[in-house]
Amino acid sequence: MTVGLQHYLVLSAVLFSIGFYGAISKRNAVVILMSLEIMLNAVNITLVALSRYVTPVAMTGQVFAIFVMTVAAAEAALGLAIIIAIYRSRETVDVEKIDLMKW
Amino acid sequence: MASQLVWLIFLLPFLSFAVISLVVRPFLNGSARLSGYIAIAAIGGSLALSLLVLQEVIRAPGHELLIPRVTWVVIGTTELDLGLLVDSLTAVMLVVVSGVSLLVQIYSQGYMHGDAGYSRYFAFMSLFTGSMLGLVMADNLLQLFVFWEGVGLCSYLLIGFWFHRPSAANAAKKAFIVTRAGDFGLLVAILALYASSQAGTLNIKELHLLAETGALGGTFLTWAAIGIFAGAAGKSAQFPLHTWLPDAMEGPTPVSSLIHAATMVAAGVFLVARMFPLFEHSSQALATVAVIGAFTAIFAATMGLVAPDIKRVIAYSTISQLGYMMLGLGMGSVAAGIFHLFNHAFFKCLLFLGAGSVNHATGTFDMRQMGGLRRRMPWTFFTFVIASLSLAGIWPLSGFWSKDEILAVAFQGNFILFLLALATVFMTAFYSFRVIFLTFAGSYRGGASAGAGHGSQGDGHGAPSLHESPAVMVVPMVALSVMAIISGWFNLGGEFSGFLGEKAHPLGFFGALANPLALLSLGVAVAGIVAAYGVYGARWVSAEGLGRAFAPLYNVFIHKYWLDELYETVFVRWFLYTFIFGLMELFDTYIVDGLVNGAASLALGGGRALRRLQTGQLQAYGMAIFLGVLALGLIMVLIR
Amino acid sequence: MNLFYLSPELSLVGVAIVVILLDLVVPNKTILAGVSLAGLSLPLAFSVALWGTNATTFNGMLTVDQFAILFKLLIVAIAALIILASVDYAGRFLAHHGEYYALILLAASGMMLMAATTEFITIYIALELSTLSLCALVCYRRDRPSSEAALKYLLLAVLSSAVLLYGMALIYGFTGTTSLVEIARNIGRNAIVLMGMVLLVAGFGFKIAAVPFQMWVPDVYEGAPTPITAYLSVASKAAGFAVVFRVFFTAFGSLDLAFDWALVFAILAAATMTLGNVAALTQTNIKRMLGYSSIANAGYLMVGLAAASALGRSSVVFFLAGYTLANLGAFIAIIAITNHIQSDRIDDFAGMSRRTPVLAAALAFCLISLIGLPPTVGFIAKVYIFSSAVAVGLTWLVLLAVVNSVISAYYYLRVVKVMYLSEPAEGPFPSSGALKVALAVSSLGVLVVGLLPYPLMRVAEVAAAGLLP
Repeated sequence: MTVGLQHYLVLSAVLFSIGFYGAISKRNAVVILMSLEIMLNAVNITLVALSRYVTPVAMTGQVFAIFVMTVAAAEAALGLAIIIAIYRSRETVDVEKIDLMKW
Repeated sequence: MASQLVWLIFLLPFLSFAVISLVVRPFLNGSARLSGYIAIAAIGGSLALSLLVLQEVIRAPGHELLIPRVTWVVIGTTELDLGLLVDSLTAVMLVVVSGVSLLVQIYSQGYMHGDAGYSRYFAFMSLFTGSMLGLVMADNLLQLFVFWEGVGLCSYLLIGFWFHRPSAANAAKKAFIVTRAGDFGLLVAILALYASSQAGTLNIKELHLLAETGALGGTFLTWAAIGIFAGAAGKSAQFPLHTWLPDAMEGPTPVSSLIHAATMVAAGVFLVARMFPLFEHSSQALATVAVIGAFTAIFAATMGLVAPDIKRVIAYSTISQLGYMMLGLGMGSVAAGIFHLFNHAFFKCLLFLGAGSVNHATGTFDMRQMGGLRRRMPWTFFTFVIASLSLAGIWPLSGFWSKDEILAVAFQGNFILFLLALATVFMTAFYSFRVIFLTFAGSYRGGASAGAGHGSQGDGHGAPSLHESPAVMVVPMVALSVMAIISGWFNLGGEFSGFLGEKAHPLGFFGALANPLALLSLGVAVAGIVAAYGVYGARWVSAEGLGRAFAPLYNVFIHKYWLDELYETVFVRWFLYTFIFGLMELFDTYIVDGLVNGAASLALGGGRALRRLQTGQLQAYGMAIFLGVLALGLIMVLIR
Repeated sequence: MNLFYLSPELSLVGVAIVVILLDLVVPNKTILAGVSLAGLSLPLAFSVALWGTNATTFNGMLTVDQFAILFKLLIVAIAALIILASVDYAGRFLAHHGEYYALILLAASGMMLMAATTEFITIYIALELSTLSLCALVCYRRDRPSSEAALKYLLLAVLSSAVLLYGMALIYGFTGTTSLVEIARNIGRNAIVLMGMVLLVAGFGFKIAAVPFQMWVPDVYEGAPTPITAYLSVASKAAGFAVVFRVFFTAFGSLDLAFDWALVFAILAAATMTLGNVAALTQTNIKRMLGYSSIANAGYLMVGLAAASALGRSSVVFFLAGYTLANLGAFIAIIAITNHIQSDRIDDFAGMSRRTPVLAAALAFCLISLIGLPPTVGFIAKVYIFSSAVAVGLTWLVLLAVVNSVISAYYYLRVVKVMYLSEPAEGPFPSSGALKVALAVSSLGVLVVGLLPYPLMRVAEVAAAGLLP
């Protein structure tokens, strides 16, 4: 069996769904952040695979993936900083308890 | 002359308003005097430009300047424009409004000196002047209506300038509501003209053309014209909508002078003149204008005969003179009406400034507390007499010439209206000189007895120490008195009438003295003066005795024909409280509670429910995004 | 490659760096606001100099046309007003002023890029540049509401940008390119493209606060520092719509696809404005209420988007400018009031007409513009956008929008009523000069454009016309 484009696409779709599920079901903010990273990496797999199979010469997708990774790092840094700020003021990172503002 | 400069005529005062209210009041309130200078500079600029425009209009063929229109909005294929109509009528009005406004604002510097609302006053005055200039330049009815409401708003704000005084606040409210009644008619007429297949346009020149070609005619034209006249009657305080103007005297006196004598109240006359072709082609509409005008002229004059308050006498006189102008228009002569408007602006403005000057010294407007001011205030006395002579129509002052023209057209038109007008001439002369004898002649009756009881009537000028007003107030009065003498001479050879496009019948400076009609009116006016002298000067007959002898009449006049009470009972109590509020209550109970409250509570209930969706839970928000994606996908599938 | 085409953004980033460096040496922090304001004149000057150019550079990644430049000018103006409105607030409640102003400028440069990018990678970068800067700003007070708002904003933003990226990847996979112009050439109508489009709508829907991707809006608006709330409500929304315009008109502009997304936006518009207005009815916090109001306005804007016509495009651009003026004016007045009373509750605005008449009048005037009554810009903008929708037969949507406008009058006028008819709790108070200037500029704008809308309409028309593929 040769591994083709479809395999990569299915893999990334599954990863994306796992990440999405994690993001909307986990209560720990850090775990949510990790789930979001999984989603972004799922997109990266799609991009790289498409780049390899659709535009092997131009490599647009691979460049895109690098940019996504860079931005993801910045997002993670900012996210952790905010989580620390929240932990300092409430001593919890459980998003179910972070509902001061509602309605 | 660049057309942008023409736009500047009314934009300059608006600019001054913006600068005063946005820069001077918030940031430089320590130097309030600056507001006065800014306002005067702006209106001075407008006057200079107006004079240039007048010169250009005189030279222009057909006495009309073509100003490129400015696009207001374009939505798809619908395009609405803003435009200026600058013809001889506009040019005359521009000069009158900006000229009088300049002098009044110079005078106000002295009159309002030290008032806590000094900056606010000049801001409102600038706003008013800008709106008024915009009104006379508008080339379509919608634009005109916007400025029309703008001057109404300024009038409201300035009558209620001392809003902490209940009488001022009430007067402002009354002015606003009563003129609204007339404006309703105007608005209906405008909407009808726009919506009807007969007209379908609001452009004034196009409406003129439609009326002249007969495309616009019949009953529709009559009702449209009467609707327009309703607006004009409200603004120009014509019977039965005149009741607000005497009360409007609660405002600062320069405001009464500019807005309630020279300019805004004349806007009604201007509107009729502006839309004159519509009136001209409906004899019923024209007759309405003439009858209401003549009736208002004599009706208001009767109340002026007995009023004890100097400003109110002048206010009744204004109503009466506005009736004169309407009569001139109604008799088919725009030039006669507008010429009287032109002259009236100067001498009536001067009368108010004189009254303000008197109040500045005595702290009251009640003539029973005055007397003997001639020696103390020579300049005020001198200018006041000139203005009164002009108002009475004494040769060769300005009032004589225009009043004579109106009498002449009335004489040719309708003999009864002519007689009413002639009787008014007598009354006008009588009450004008009643004011002079009561105020300036005899000996001073105020002082100690003028006490606190009447102090509240003044414009907040405390301790009365009898002195002439400062130069900043006297100079504008002198300037106006020059105009009150000579402004009538502009039509000696029929130049003014010719400018407005009418054939004149010039009398000549001395020729007037050989004209029987002119001699008649002059004689009646002199008789009025002599009668006033007889009662209030020489006291051949005592005024109290006269009042007792004609007690029924006196009571009718002094109570203003009980119209205020009638309106109070009929409109406020019966109509408003009983009928409208009763109707509203029924409506409220049976319809609002049932239907609208149902809808409202549905919406509010929906609001409460939707709020609950916003749980504050992060996962719920993520879930919403997930569901949203699914729903959008579903929509895409369902599309085809 | 011509760096001049990128000069507005580059100069703005330069100014941001200068502000951060100055922060190290300058003891008086108000100077930083002055430097930021002065620095904004650079991108302003460059944008004005670029007006009239129509060029594509960096291999089709960046387009400089009138559409882009108009949005750049709008965002520069917003940033300037936000900085003016922040001076007093930052002095009272915030630390680290240098980074605060620098982040405002960086967010602005990201949003300026959003309007100019015509390629997926750069769109993503620009989007994230603005989102991350804004997120840091939302967190700036570091108290409980502020950090909670930032957490919600960040996590949901990343979630939706992941969705957006997935959509971009699908479109890229089908067309083999990330350039919008080339996408338009290669595109067809099939399941992959439609799914990609759905994901793009969802991703951008977060940025422009379309239902159901709007959930973050009320919470974040309530928790963020008030000047940042104002910034989010106008700049972020304007940039979001700019990029939506680029993507949907340029890449998916073919009639076949336009039918699909126009219908999607019509449905979203109906849901968004209804939810926004109805949920706003019972709010008690003014920032939260304006959050829902901003959702409702996104709904009106999408009405113009759903028209998918040249008229619709120019009307949306005009509406955005008008909404910016009115909403910023309202927020600036609220900042000036809440700086003093330290409460966002609508009930605490009681008697403001007597405590601070100018602020109350300006706030009332801007709220009237948000309702859409003459003589304000809001009236013209609504007429414009609704007639664009009527012209393409979306009468049902316009009727709904009009009903919504009537509903909205209730909650806007409630604030006016509280300010004018309730008894004041305390005496009058003054407000700072910078706030007065900012307030004067925006409320005068509301009035002047409301009275003389044509010049701005013309600019909007020119800008929107250049957007054709």
